[in-house]
Amino acid sequence: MSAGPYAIGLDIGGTFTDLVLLDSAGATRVHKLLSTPHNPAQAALDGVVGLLDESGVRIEDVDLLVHSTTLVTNALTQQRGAITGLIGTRGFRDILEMRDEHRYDVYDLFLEWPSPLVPRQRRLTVNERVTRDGDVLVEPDESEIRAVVERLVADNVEAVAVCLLHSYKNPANEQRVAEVVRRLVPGIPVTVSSDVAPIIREYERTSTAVADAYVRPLTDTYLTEMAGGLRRLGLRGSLYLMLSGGGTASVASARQYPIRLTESGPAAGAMAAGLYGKLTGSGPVVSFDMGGTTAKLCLLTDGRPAVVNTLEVSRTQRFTRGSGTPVAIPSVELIEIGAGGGSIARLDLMGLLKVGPDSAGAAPGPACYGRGGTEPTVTDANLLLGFLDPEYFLGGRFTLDVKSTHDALARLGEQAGLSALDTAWGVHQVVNENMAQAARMHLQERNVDPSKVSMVAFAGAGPAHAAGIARLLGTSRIVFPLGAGATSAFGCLVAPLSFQFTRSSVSMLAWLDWAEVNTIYAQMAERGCAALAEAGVAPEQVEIVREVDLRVYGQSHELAVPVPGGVLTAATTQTLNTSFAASYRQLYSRYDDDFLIEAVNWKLTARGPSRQVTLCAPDGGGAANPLKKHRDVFLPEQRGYARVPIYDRYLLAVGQEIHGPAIVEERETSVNLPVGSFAVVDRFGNLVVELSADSHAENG
Amino acid sequence: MSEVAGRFDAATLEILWGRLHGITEEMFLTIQRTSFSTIVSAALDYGCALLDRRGGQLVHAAGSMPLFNLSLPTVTRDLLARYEGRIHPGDVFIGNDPWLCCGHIPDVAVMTPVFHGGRLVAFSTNVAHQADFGGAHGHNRVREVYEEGLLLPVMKLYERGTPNTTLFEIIKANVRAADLVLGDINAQVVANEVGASRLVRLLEEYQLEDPTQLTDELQGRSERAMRAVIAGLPDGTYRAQGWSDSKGQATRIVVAVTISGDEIVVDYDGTGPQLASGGTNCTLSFTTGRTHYELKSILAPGIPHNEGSTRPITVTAPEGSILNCTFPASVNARAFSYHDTLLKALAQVLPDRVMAGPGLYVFPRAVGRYPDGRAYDAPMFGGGGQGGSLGRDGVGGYIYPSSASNVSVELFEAACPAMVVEKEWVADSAGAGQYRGGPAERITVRRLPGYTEPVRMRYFPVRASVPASGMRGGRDGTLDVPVWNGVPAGPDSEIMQDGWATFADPDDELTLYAPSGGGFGPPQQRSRDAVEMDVKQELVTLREAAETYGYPTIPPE
Repeated sequence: MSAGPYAIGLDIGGTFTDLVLLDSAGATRVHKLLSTPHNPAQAALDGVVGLLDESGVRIEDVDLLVHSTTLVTNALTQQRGAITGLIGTRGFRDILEMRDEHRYDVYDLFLEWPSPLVPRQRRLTVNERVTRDGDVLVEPDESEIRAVVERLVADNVEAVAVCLLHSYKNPANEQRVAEVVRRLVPGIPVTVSSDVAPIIREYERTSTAVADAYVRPLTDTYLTEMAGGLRRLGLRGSLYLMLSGGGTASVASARQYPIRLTESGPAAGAMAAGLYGKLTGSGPVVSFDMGGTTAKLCLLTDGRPAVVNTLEVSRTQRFTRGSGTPVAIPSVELIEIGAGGGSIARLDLMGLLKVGPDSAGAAPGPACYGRGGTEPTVTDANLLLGFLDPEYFLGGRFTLDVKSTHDALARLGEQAGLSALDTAWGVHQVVNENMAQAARMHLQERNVDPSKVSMVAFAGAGPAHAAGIARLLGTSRIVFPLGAGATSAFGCLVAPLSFQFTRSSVSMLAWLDWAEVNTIYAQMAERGCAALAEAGVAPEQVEIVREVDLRVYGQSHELAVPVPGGVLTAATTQTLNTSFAASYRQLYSRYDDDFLIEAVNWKLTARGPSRQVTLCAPDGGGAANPLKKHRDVFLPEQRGYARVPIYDRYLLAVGQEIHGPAIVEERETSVNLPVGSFAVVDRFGNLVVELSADSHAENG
Repeated sequence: MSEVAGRFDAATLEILWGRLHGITEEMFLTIQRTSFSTIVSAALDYGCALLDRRGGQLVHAAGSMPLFNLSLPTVTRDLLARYEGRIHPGDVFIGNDPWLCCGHIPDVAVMTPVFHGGRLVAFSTNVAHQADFGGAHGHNRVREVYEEGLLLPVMKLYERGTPNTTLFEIIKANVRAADLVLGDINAQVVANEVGASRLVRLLEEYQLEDPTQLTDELQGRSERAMRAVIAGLPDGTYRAQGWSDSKGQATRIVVAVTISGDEIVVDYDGTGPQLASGGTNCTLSFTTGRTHYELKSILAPGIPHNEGSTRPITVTAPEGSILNCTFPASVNARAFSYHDTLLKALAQVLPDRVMAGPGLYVFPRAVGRYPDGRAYDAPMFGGGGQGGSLGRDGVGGYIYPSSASNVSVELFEAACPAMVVEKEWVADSAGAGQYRGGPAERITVRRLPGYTEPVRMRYFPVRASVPASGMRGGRDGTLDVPVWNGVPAGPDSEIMQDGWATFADPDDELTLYAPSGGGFGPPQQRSRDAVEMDVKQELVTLREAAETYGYPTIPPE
C-alpha cells in the first residue's frame, strides 16, 4: 500500500468482524475474521493486529480508527442489559408497557410484543406535574424521590431512567429528580428523557430513556476495554464511534448517549453506498444490500442517507412495523425486507408462491450447500438459473450441489404445476417484485421519481437481482462497487464527525416565541460544538445545519423544512411558510394558503469537516483476458438457457465495456447483466451499468 | 411473462397479488398523510380496498379497520344497482347509509369506479370515520337515525370530474368541523385516484384488458382455502347465550353456529329486540362484518381476506333484533360486546384458539372552541384488557376490535384544554383465571388548570352493565361505570343520559375505565409463580391472592 497516514474502519457484526485499511491515496485492504460475541473487543483487537501485519503498516502511522458495532442492538434484542428502574409521573406507571395500544396485525389474536425492558415492579412514580405549556404545577418532593430510590436500590437496579410528562417542554422536574437520584446513589448511571430524546409523545420518549439506561453500563465497560486495548496496541490516533444517524462521534460523546450506537453497522453501510453513488455520478441513489436473510434499502441524496426521528428495535415480527420497541434517536432510514439468499420459497394456503421471510440460514442453508437443506431458497433458484457458478461460490471455497438444488425446486414445482426451471425463475421474479415494491413505496413516501435514481447494489445476493429490480422500478443506472464485502467497515471511514439533536416545542408558527426557539438552538449548537470539540474539531470548522418539522394544524404528519442561519425573528415565519408550502405541494400536489402551520420538532446537526475519501481501481485490471468461459444461463427472453460469457471482475481494466447478457464474477458475489444492459468499468473500479429503455418493457 | 392472460401460475399470481396489495398500501398511506382529523391520521380509523367490477372485494390494505373492508362491498353493490348505466370515468361516489355501510353515520365511504379500455373494470374504495357528520350531541337520548347526523344514500360527489357543489354545500352546512371533514373527504378522494391510476397501470403492464379472470382466480383460491379450513372442523351446531351491553342496559344475545361440510351458518335467532333509543342497535351489515372478522381471526388468520373467504359463511339475525335493526332505529354507538357470546359458541369447537371476552376500549373526546374561535376535537383511546386464553394471560392496553392506536397523552393535551391526571392499570381488576385477563385501564381527566372556559368531553361506556365473559371457569372482567367528581355516574347523570361531561369548575373530574378482560380456566389453578409475580407487580393484592387464587401465604416482597 502507498503512504500513510492510514485510517481503519472496523465493523463488528453478528458473525464477522470486518476491517478496512485505507491509505492516503484511496487504496483499501480488507481483513475479515469471526466475531467473538462473548467479548467483542477481542476479535476487534486481533483484527487490527492481523490487518496491520498483512499490510506491513505500523500502528503508529494510523491516525484514525472508526468503529461500528452491534453491541447495543444485540443487548436490546437479547435483553442482556442492566437491571433498570424507571421513575415516572404519578398516575402513569404503565406508559412503557401499554405502548401505543395498537394491534399491528388486526387478524392475529395472539400477537406478541417484546417484554418491557423495565417490568412493573421497577416502574415507580412520584407526584409531580408539568403542563403542556411547560408550567410546573407540582414540584417533586425530595422525600418521595428518596422513597422511590430506596425501593429501586432494594431491587438491585444498576441504571435508572427518568421520564416525566411534558419534560421536552420544561425539563425542570426531571432534572430535579435526576439530581436527587445521583446524589443518593452516585454509582448508578441516570438517563434523563429530556436529555436523550426531548420529543413530544411520552411512550416514545420513555422507551428511549429506558433503552439508553439499559445499555449504559455495558457500553461503558465495552468502550473502556476497547479504547484501552487499542492504546495498549500503540494506537495514538483518534478513536471514533459510528452513530445510528450516519455521523461519528468521540468515545466521550458516545458514552454520553449510548443508545445512539444502535444499528451503527447498517448506518455505516448506508454511508458507504452514498460514497459509491457520489463518486460515480449525481442525483439520488437507492442502495440495495442483500445478505443471507434480509435485504436493506436506503435512499441517499448528495451521498447522505435520509434520517428519521425514530428507529424500531427488537421486533417480534421482524418485518412488521409496530411489533418492536421504538427508540427516538436520529437514525438512517433503512427499509428491511425479508428476502435474502437463504430465504425459503413455499406455496402458501392459497397456492401462491411466497419467498421468505423464513430463512434456511447458514445451517442447514440452501439445498445447494448440501448440508441437509431440502427446501429451495433464493440462492438455489439463482444457481439453477445459471447466475451462480457451482465451482466458484465464495471464490471457489466450496462447491455447490446442483442436484440437490434441482430436486428441491422440482419438488416445489410439482406442487405448483411448474417445471424446476420455471419455478426457479418464478422465485427470482417474486424476490425482485418484493424488493421493487418496497422500494416503490419508500420512494413514493419521499416523493422521488424512480426513473431519476441510480441504484447501488452490493453484498452477496444483491448483484444477481439488481438489474431485474431496476427494470421493475424504471431505474436505468446501477453501480456495482468492487469488493464490497466489508461495506460497513468502509462506511465508517466515509461518515463525517457529526451530532444531531431534536427538541419538541409545539406551537403555531404565527404565534411562535422566537426567543424560545433561539434559546433551543443555542443550547443544541453549544452541545454539538462541545461534542465535536471532544474530537478535536475547532469551533470555526463546525458546520451547523438546522431544520424544523412542520405540519398543517390538525394533521399528524410532519415535513422537515430548512431553518435559515443566524438569529430567528418573526420575519422567519414567512420563510418557513414558503418552504413548507413548496414541500407540501411537491409531495401532495395541493396546498391551501389558509392552512395554519404548526411547528413540532426543532432539529440541529453539528458537523465537522468531511473526510476526503476516494477509491482506486484494483491492481490486476487488464493484466490478463477477463473472459473466463461461457456457461448456460437462463434468459427470460428465450424462456430457456443460452451460452453467456462469464467475466472475472478482478481482471477487468478501467474503461472496459461489456454488453449483456453476461455474468461478472467476484469472490463474494456475482453480477447478472441481462439482455439490453451495457456495463463499463469506471476509474474507481466500479461496474457502472445502463439498462436500455426498451428493456424496461419486459417484466424481467 | 406477459402472456399471463390465459392462465396464472403460482409465481405470476403471487406477483400480481403483491402488486394489488401494494396499491392498497399506497392508498392507505395517502390518507394517513393527507387527512386532517386526529381520528383518521393518528388513530387510523379508516380502511382501503380494491373491489372487482361487481363490487366483490379483491384486496385490502393490511392496516384497514376490518369492519370497513367487510362493508365496502355492500355499499358498492348498492351503487351498482342504483346507477347502472350511469357510471362514468371521473365519477366519485359517496355514501354512509348505516344499513349498507358500516353501521353508523360517521363512517363515510368514498368509491371511485376504475375504467380501462373504456370499460368499468373495478372500484377503488375506502371508508373513513369522520370527526363529525352532524346530528344531536345528546347521543344517548336519540331515538332515530335522523337525529344522528346527515345520512347520504350513495350519491355522486363528482360527476365526470366535476364536483357536485350542491352536495358539498349540503355537507358543509350540516357538519360541525366542516374544514376538517371536507379535508378528510378530499384525502379519501385522492387516495382512490392513486388506487385507480396504479391499477390501470398494472393492467396495462400485464396486458389484462379485463381483470375479471384475475379477480375470479384470487377470490376462488381464498374461497377454496377457507372451505378447506372449515371442512377440517367437526360438523355440528354450537350454541351459546349471553348479554350485550347497551349503555347500562343488557340485551340477550343468542347464537347458533352451524358447521356443515365446508360452510358455516351463524344465526342470531332468539336475540333480544332493538332498543327504542340510545343508538346501540346494529344493522345487519355491521353484524355481518363483525361476525366475519371474528371467524376469520379465529379460523384462518393466514388466508388473505377477500370476497372469496367470506363466501362459505352466512350470517343471519332476526329482523327487528338488536343485531338486525330496522330503519330508522338509532345506531350511532352500536353494540360492541355481543361477540363474547359468539366466542363462547366457538370455544366448544376450537377451545385452544378462542380467548375469554375482551374489555374492548374507551374513546373519550374533548370537543369545543377556544375563545379565539379555533375549534378543537381531541380524541383519546384507551385499551381494555385482552381475554385470557389457553396458556396465555391477556395483555392490557388492548384496543379491540378496532385497529386504532391510542393518542399520546402529551399530544392529546397539546390538542385541547383538558389535562389527563391518570392513565394507569388497576390492581385486582383483571378477570381472574388460570390465565388471567388483561387489567383495566383507569383514565382520569380534568380541565387544564388556568383555562377558564367550560370544557366538554364526549363519552359513553361500552361495558356499563355487561363485563367481558370469563371462559372455562375463568372470572368475568370489570365494568366501566364512569365516576364524576368521586361519584359513580347514575342512570340520570349527564354522562349516562347525554354521553357528555362538562368541566365547568376547576375541580371537576371524570374517571373512566377501559374494562379488563375475562379470565380463562379456574383461578385456583393459576400457578403460584404467576400469582407471586402479579403481587410483586402490584397487579394483584395479597387479599385477592388469598381469596381468589387460594395462595394465602405469599410473602409481601
